[in-house]
Amino acid sequence: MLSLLTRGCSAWLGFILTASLVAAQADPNQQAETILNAGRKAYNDGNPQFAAERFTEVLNKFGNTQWATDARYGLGLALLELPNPDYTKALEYFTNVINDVNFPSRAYALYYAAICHRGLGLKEYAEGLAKPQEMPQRSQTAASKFAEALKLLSQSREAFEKSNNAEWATRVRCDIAEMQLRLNKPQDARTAVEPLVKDPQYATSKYRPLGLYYHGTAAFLMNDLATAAKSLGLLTPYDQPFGPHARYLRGRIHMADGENAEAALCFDAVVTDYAKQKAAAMEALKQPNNFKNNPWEKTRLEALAQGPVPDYVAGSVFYAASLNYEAGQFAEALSKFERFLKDYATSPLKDDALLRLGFCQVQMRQWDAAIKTLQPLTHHPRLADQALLWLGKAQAEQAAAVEPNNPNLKAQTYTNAINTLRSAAEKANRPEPDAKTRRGHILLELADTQLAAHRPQEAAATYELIQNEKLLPHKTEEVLQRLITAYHLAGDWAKSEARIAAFQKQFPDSPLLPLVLFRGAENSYAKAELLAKQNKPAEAKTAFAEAEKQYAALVEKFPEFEKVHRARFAQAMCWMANHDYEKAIRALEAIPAPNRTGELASVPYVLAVCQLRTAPVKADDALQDNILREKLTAAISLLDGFIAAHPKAEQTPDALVKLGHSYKRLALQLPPGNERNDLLNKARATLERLLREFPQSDSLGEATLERAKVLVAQGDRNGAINALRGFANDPLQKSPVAAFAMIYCGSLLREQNQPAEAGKILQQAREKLENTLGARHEHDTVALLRYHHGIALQESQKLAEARVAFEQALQAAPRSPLAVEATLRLLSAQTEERKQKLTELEKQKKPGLTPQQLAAIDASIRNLHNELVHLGQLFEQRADQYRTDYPNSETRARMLYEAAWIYRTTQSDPVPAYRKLIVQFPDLSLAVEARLELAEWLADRGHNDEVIPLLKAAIDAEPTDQPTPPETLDRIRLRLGAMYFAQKDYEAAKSQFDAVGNNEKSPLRAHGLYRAAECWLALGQPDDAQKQLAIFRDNPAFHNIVGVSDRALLRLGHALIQLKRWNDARGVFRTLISRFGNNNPWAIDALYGIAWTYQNLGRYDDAVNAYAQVTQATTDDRAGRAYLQIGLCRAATKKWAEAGKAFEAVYFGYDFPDLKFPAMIEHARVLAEDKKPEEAIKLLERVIKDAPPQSEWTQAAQEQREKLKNK
Amino acid sequence: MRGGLRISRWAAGGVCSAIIAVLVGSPPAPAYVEAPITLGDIVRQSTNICLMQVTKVDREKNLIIYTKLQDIKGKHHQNEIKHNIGRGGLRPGEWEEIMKWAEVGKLAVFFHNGGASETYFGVSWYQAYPQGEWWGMSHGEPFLLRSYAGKVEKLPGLIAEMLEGKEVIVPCMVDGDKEALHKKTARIQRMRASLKLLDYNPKRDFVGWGAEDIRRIAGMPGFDRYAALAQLHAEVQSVSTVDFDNDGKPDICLCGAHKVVLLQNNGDSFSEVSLPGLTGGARSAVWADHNGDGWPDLLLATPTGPRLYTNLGKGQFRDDTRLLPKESAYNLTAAAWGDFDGDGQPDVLLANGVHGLRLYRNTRPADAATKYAPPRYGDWYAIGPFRAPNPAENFQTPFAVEKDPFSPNKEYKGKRDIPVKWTKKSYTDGTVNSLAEFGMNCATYLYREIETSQPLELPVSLGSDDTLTVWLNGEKIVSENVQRAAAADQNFAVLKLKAGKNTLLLKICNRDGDYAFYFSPGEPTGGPDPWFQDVSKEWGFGDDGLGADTKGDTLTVADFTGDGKPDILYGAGTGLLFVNRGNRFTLKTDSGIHYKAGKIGVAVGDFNGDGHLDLFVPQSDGPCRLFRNDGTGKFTDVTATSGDLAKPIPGAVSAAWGDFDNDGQLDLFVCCLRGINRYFKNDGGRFIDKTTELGLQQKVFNTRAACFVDLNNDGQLDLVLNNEGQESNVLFGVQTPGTPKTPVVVLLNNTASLNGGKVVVKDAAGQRVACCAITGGDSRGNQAGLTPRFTLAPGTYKFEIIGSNGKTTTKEVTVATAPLQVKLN
Repeated sequence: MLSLLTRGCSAWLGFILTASLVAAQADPNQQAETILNAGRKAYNDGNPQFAAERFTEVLNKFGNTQWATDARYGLGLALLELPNPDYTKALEYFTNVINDVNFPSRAYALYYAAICHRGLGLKEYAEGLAKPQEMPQRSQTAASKFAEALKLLSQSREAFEKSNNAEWATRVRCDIAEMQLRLNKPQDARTAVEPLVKDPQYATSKYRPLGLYYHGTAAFLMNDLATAAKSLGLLTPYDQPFGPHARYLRGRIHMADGENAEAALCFDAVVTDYAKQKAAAMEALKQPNNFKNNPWEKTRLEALAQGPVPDYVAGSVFYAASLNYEAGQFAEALSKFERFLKDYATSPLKDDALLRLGFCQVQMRQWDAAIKTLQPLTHHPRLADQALLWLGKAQAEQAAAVEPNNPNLKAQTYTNAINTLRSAAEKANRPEPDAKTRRGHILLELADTQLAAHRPQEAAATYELIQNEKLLPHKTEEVLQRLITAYHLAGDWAKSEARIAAFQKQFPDSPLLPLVLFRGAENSYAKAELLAKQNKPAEAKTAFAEAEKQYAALVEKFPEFEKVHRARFAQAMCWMANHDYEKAIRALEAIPAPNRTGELASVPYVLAVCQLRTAPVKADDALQDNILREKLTAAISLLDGFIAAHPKAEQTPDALVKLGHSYKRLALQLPPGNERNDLLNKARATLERLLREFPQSDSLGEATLERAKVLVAQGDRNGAINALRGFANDPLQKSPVAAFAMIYCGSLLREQNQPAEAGKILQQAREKLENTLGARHEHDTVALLRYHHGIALQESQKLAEARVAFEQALQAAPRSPLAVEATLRLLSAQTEERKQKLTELEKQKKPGLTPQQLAAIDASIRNLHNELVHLGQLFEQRADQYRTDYPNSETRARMLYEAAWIYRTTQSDPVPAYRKLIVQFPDLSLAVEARLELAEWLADRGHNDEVIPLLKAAIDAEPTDQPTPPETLDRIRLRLGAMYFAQKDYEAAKSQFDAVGNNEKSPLRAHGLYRAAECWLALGQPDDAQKQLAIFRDNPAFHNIVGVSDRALLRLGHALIQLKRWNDARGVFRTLISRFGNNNPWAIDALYGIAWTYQNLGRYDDAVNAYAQVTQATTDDRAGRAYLQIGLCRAATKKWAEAGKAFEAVYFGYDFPDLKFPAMIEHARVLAEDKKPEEAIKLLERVIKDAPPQSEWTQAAQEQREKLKNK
Repeated sequence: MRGGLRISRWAAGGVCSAIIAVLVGSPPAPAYVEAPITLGDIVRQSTNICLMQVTKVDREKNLIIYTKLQDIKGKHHQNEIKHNIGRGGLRPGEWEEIMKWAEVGKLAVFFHNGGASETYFGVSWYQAYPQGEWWGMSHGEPFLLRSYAGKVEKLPGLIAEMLEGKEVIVPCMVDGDKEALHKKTARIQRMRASLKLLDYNPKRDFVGWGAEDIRRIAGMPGFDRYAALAQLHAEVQSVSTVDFDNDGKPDICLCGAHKVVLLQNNGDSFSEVSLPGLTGGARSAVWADHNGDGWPDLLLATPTGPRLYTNLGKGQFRDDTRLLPKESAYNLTAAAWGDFDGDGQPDVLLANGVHGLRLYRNTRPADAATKYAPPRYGDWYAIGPFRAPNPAENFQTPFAVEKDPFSPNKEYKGKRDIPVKWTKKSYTDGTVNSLAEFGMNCATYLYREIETSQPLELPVSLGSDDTLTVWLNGEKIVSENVQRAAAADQNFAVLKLKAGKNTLLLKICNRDGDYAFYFSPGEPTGGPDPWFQDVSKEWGFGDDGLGADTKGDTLTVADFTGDGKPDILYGAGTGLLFVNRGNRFTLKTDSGIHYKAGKIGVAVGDFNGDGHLDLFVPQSDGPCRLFRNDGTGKFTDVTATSGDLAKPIPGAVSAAWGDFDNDGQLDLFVCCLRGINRYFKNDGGRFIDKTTELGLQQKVFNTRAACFVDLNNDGQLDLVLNNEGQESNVLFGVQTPGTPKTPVVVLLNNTASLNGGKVVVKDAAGQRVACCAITGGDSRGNQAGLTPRFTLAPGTYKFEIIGSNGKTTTKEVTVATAPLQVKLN
């Protein structure tokens, strides 16, 4: 340590100062002394150059004087103090001095001579560093110099000890230790300074820290870390010039002891302290005057400020970074390694740093940077296998990050990674002790990469190799578990199962057991999938159930297992495979949202699929509507989230289709309005996004079809038809939904009243698609296509062709539900054909035909009737035929209904068909219709007993397919009310009529009101009746209801009459006539009513006029009544003759007992009043004779006759 | 203050507007007072919220590129979200913190409304503004930690639920100490959050302290709940439990070489308590009541030397390391407490790799606890408003109240000669307190008294709106004639407190706008001289003493010889037992203890119920050892006859004793690295491996240290695991059905046993039925027995709590069937 040299000079300087005081004479000795003292002074003043010149002068001029030795010694010292110390010359002078055994400072000279050797050695070493090719030689030379130095130092120490200069002896011990360390003799070095550590006498020595430092360093080199730690530890706080290095060594020891936290503090402090020392040195050097007496310190500071950074500083950065890496602080480690490589590019640790930088980059997923970093090390003699391992890791991760839509690049990148890892394994196949384990780790990485690259067979082989060669005995469990996975993925389920059994036996309590059991369940699932693919649905179903059980057991037993959510997902897939979507939903919903990433990223998508699958097909009631909305809303939310998170995922196109579909369905649940429009727009935008972003997707056809449906919902049918026409050509015609799209297109055309065009489109579709569909065994789709084609033909009145199409549909799928529909359609077409013929025949029956011609037509009609009856029977037979397979088919019910109507048309008995329908399908809405129609049929035929129960049953029925239409229900109620009314059960009747009349939404409300009013009238409550009927007079909405409004007004008039509100009544009657005209069937009654009101008001002439209008308007009994009333009116005004005529008109013109007998009696009274009693009696006797004996008329006639006789 | 109060709401301007104002060179921006904002309000204000993941990091240019993973609210139009972090911020370290966090794969949640954004990145929040396709980081937003401060992974789910109209509970930091928010050391609380709870209202929304980290687990039959604790990363050392806040619930101390975590047990959660000045970790963390105040104090063995933390109560600690002697160098591998001289005061034992074993005798003054108590702060009083004839001279004008001694009943002439008197106020330290009630353009005085038992120097942080003048004991120490908005740290002062009562007077004058002040006391310095005395040499230790020639990493302090004096087992060599001879330690050469020391921790417990402390020694690379103590410190290796313990336990590094099945016998839990932990049921001295029965085989926890403790006082032991490289955790035990015995826990706070000693339970006949020793340290810095627990049949017992000084306190306890806590004081 050069800086210490100056400290050692104080004794000599003290001596020379004393000596200078005695120099007084000017003889050569004195002159020499004077010059010598000048040199000494200059030396002491920090001017070694001047000093050297003076000492040289002494030697040159007074070389033979007594001061020559002092001058040599001084010159040696001065030469050492020069900015560029001249060790060689100095050594020369010191060597000379040493030879003088009496020289008082010989011990110092020995010391400085040693310093010269050390200086020369260090110089050699520095040269070697600058020229590495010369290093061996330079090292050797340096070592010889150090050895020389050591020798001299030993002599020096002895000399100091002899002279009891303990402090210098201590100092020399330290230098001896330094030389021994430089000569790689740590034991000797340790021995040299051991007393400084242990002997209390050195406790206060200022050289003790240096001794501790060398002692610690020596012990460190000897791997006696405990000793080293103690000695170096005592240097705390490491503020000596060698402190940073000592602390660095302390850090290394901490590292070796596993005290990484402490080590990290040491390394960080080394770097900080060194930086501080360097900064302080630079600052100090700005004041050169401070060093004029201490050039050695200046040199030290210059070396610190300008010289190369010591290795230990670089080492500290390196190890600090390594510790950060070990502690998982990759970002910090990375920046430190980067700094290391930048600042210490020539460090021997450079390659190790580069390797670790690569590690950090891999850990931080900077694959490209890692590859760039590691590539140059792949041929490194020591680090190649590790570099290749991590390079392979980076490449594997890079491969994993390649988009799945670039499979070639992905595969190629994986191949590169695998090849790299193989090279790494080869490089590691060396005889070194730890190479086997390293190779094991590399092979494990290789196998994992092979698995990731979808090369499970290769992976299995690699795992087997690791197991067989026992490369990683501490990882047997782990490798076996991965082997099980590899065999599973390779489809070698038997081997996988065998290994699972072995694992369970060998490691029954392993934490990896859940993973192994999971793989077992995966094996089962894969087997089930295979069975499904092999079209073995029953076996597949059982297998899926079995797999599900295994997953369920796993979930139950290991709910915290890392793949538990993956197991839940698989459980859901099993349930889905077995069409149990509700259970699938439960399983999927148990997967928390944050876990729905990675391999579970598709959970929202699958969950949405399940929601859609469980959504009600129809929403005919509020509950269903609510469920549907909830399901669709849930599906939309899930799909939306999935698409947003995974815009390029494999399932994204399908998710877009489903999202569009869901928007559309939700829209269709809403009434027209902004909300609905908004949803439809969203649906369209979603589907168009798919068409735009995924033009090659398999879902293209489905999206086009769905979009067409949306267009229809938006009212753009033509747009939809145009879009659907695209399915006639590639690429859409290859779509799996092409047939459905064409069918839909046909349906739209039919809706546009273009059945012929629809037929054409469907004909083309059949020609293009039937073979393909047949080849794909999609017979049901073929049948559907034919069926719809048939419908189009049927609607185009091409009944024969339609019939053929329906028959072909039946052939394609004879046992499908569609077959029932096709049969119905087929028979309907046949029926229609017959009916058309019947109509034609009816048209032929024109006047002028001969009886033969008429007979022939009638015969044909009869035949057609028979054929129709036969078709009716066929309907019934087919309904029976399909009963076994489709007991609840509505189509069968429709067949029976059709049969009943055929029977009604042909005047046959429809009752059995109706009854069959009602019995077999009691809960269908069609059965309600059937009950009503049957009831009407029976009522018309007087079979009233059955009618009321039938109608009641119709009302009580709660159809399962769709609710009974309210109008039908009202019709039934009106009919039932009428039946009760007929039975004079007016209360019961009124309750049915009220049910209709009180329903403001009912289209039959007016009927209900009117009929209820009739009940009021029948019950003798005209006031209630008029209140109910007033609506027909006052509310314009009720003014023109055909068949009701006029009658109702009439009834209103009657009610008002009953209430003696004559004028009101007359107003109503007039309203009736004015609204509906004189030709209205109820106009006469209205006139009659008008007359009646006049009559009751005593306005007999007006009454007679009105009655006269009745008599003119009709000849029926109402005319007779009018005459009767005319007679009464005339009688009331004592116009007996006119009255008599009117009465005569009654009993001569109308042979109705209730008219003629009252007329005769009244006429008799008029005759009596007119003073013609005989004629009156005669007339009364006629009544007594003609009228029923006990009748009121006979009684009245007798009483009146007796009165007249008594007069 | 001009401009009035500004509420910093990120979307509405706030901080942002202030920054922009500065940038465009307008006059100094009006200061603002940060008003807490709720998560509900942030969600409401955001048009877009998405979960994103770091995909690229450019550390040269400080750029982070995120990929959107999920739209949580709205639809963010880009899949790639680019943040330019730059080198900005309002405080030092803001951008560094973000860049330090930024690593590929990490998650963050991005909130924006087009014009401004906030990002929660799992450590804190930062604000950014759009700059073309980039979002430029403006500044850190630690104050938003008051809205959410939980795991980033949980945030999307919580927001989704909020958007569904649900109310959720979120962890967030408590409002108050702004500095604590900046440092992220503020206390965590759980608050209700929803789109209807838009204003910060802890009274309404507070649910509890601590993050909600306890969740149900299934599939582990022995445990039914799991609590995640802090992750200590590498070099995990120990775990101990002690009721440091004296609430009857054991708290947790996790110790690692990189971190020490104190967790206050809130019953249904844990909240972290900070240790002032501690930045790294420790090799040991052990507890004793060093100052005799009844509270357990903490001793740490840190790389820079021992740290002594005095417990001030309520989860607050003071660094009293100065009470310990200073060594020239430290390489502490372990620390322990032990009342070696039996004076009732716990002494300190350190394993120092440089100077050997060090023993510091506790020589504290008898009145230490009261003498060195922290300052006591009196109530605040305020008086005002005062106004000078020229209001601009309010600051300079010495109003009468300024000269008079504090007199609460005296009346002064205030503004416009209106009489005013001192009024007691409930101002809160550490927050900005409003003085708005005193009006504008006036002066107001504040007064409080501070009492201390000895002269102290108390640093305080001050703030005012606007001027500030401070007098301590009549001497003016601060005088700031400024115009500003009140905030923390505007002025710092050191109050040189004399022993006894000190008076503090503050004068605050304002002009217009807001009127407020801030006062926050720091940690006082000064106080007693070291009262621990280095007696290593006298007791046979030191540089050349016992064990000096070897280095160990465990210190187990307990009475192995049964003489009432704590002995020492040093984990060096093959295990060195030093016997306490009263004034010196000697090595017991015939202890029979022999094991491979180094990075393994012994566990002390009386497994056979004979009253003598036995040892279980894990061995990671061979069979573990069970040593039975004959009561004299002579141990016999009984591993071979101990049942399943005789089988190898790969990776075993430490262990914990505890009567998990409540049958009255200590069972054993063995912590393993890179393998499953093991549980052995004690069946009369033979141990049966019941690992699988408890479900412990389901997960490799990589446990370095563990302890049994009944954290929730349900009578069933729970298990605290301090894990290496993964989060530490608590497994809450499932009640053992049909156990005929009743668990009884003895609370040691305020007893001499806290410093060692033991608890002996005797039946009605005076026969010893159970015994529990309190160790001063064991394993790798663990400490057993701080919560002595017994399982006893119902009946009446006598509990003898024997202090480290031999003094015995007895309490008669009737044990029924319900779990019981026994408290002496």
